[in-house]
Amino acid sequence: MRRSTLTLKDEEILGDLIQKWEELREMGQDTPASELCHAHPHLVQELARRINILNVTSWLDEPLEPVTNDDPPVPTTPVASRTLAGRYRLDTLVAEGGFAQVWQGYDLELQRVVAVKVPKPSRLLSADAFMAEARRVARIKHPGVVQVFDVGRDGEHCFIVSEFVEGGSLGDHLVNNPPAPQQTIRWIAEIADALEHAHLYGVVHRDIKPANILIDSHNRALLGDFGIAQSANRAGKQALSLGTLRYMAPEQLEGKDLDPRSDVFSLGVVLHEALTGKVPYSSLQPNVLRREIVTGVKQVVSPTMSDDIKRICEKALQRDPAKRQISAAQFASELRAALASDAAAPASTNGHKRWWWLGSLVLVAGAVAAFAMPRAKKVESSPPVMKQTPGVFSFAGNYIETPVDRFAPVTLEAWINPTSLPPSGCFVIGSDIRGHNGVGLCLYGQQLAYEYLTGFEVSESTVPLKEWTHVAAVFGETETRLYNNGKLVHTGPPTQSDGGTPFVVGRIGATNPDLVFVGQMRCVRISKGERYRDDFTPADSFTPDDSAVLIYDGKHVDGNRVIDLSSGGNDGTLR
Amino acid sequence: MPQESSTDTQIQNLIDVALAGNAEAHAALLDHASDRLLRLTRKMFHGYPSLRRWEQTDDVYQNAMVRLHRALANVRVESVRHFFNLATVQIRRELLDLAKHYFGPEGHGANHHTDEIPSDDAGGTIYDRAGRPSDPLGWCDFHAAVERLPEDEQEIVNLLFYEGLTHEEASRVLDTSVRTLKRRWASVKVKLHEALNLDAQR
Repeated sequence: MRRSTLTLKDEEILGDLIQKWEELREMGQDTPASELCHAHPHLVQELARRINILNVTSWLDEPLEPVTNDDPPVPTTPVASRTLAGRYRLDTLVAEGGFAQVWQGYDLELQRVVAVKVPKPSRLLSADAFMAEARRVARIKHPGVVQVFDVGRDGEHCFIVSEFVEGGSLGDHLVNNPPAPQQTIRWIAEIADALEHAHLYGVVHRDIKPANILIDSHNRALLGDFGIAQSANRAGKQALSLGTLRYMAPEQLEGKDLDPRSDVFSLGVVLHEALTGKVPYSSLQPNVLRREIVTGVKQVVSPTMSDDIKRICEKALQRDPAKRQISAAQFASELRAALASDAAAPASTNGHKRWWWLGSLVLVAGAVAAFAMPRAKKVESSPPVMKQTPGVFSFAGNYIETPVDRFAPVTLEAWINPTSLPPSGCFVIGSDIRGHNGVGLCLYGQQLAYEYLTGFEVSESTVPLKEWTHVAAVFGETETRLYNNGKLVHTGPPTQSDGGTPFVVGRIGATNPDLVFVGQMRCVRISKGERYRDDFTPADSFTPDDSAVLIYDGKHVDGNRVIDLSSGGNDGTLR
Repeated sequence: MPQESSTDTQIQNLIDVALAGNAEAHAALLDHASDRLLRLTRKMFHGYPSLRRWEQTDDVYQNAMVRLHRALANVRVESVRHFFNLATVQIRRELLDLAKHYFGPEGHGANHHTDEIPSDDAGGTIYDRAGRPSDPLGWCDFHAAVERLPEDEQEIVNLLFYEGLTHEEASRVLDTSVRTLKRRWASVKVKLHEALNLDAQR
């Protein structure tokens, strides 16, 4: 008898019989259907069938094993060929993670040592998507990014060929040869520069960790392993979460959209680990760790960090991306400002500067830390404010807002003494609105440069660190000219101007806190029209005339008010 | 056993606190779901050591967790029953995706030797598809068959298999007697068996 021939009454009886059979089974009795069906012989066959099914499906009632960490080690997936695509010979396996192997290899065609990363085929959801991403990342060129030479396929294996960096990773250094804290901070600032560059290309790295920061033989930090990066506008939508969990930003764990600030969070974790020897969230249980990061409920920043760095680290590790540094460039600027501030701080009583004991804290026991703690007291308050050295403006993340809306033709000039020149650039005078260009005088690394409404121009002329230099940009009717100490060094396209936002001194724009100038300025002038056409000898200070609309110098400041020495009445505000 | 220690009561307490705006309680609900996902993932690969290497708990598990979190993070959970329904739908979807990806015809596991030879409980030659899945497609079939059950029957599988509640806990969630629940559970298992074997014959 099959189910289709059973009456409702039969189904009712079968239900009762099965229940009885289960109760007896729970008492250890395996009762046959024939014994249960004395009163209903026509149901014996169907009951036997159902009992058999319940035996077969009994696995559904078994409890699940609790989660343990006793998984067997992940075996190596062998690379099928030792020479990929007939060109890249794999010589030595230098690293292996869950996602990929990294080999020291040899490019037989160009005869050079290379690094070859070979993702495990089973870990790639889409080889095509991975290859497309790798090709896009390969277009990122920056001194702080490990250069990708080639991508390709060999059978089921995709591979990425890149520069082979000798010297090991930051992770290796932290374990084997911990660097001085100043060095660590410089490296991390360099990585932030590289990240800023990648972000400008719309690439969020998504896997920032010490193992992906390489230190080359020239003691430079390079960012590698963009292999799982995805463009910012796609990140988080369908991406694998391959980054190491403890460095991931909360929004990454929550599957939300990622942006450059997610990398800032991860770099904050690296900064914390590099300076204190431990990550802010350290549970070994993935569930607990994920919860700690997502809820941000723990006190995350070590008290053994200096006040400056602690503040920067705390900001980077904010659960809410809007409360973090707005960009990697700002993160780098703040780190460099902290370094510069430390360098300018008076020596402590035993003749060592603050970093000395901070470095010691990384290495010694907590008792010593307790002793050293009181000396961590910061000289300045935070957030950074302008420290007034008599006669000059000092910049460390602060700026001067002017009441003068950008215009052209215009001449921008200043006497500057930079103490830090990040590769990603900084602005002497800017008027940028986020997402758009402005009219500004800037430095790209050490190279004098300018921004105009439709682009950037970078000269080959460099500005020295810690020396007073006069810099000027003349935005003319038909061209823009750059002057370094009065010498014409570059001519480029002219700009238009649309007003709408004021000029600011010391960063890229009034509403855009990026690319801050770090160092000193003696005086600043903004003039109508083209003040300079040929080479000239810069005056030591600026005097009013008909074309000057704004002149500031460090000798004329009243509280937060910067007094305009031209007749324009354009006093500025220290921010 | 005191009521306070049962899973459904714990979950209800967490829901109450989460509804009051406590982020930790919400996170704890997600923890519960993620723990079930992890356990079920491991159950799915039990007996397949050669396949388990693809499903270690780091990246793939985190990927599934991200989607689970995204699906549950912005939902206002009103009751235990509501939560279990939401969570198990997501968990099953993840398991089905994993099984399809790694075990399907194009999956990486499809061409690998597995370590368990299918056998019929009665020693016969006909493979019973409702036994513990023991071939690459078995888990796909099982999760898909559950998806096709009527909603009320699916809910019973959700609570007893995917959520691992006891009969007593599940009966409280469904507001029914233990006796009725057991009866319905037996009926659902028979239906699942028939559905799986019908699929296999097609």
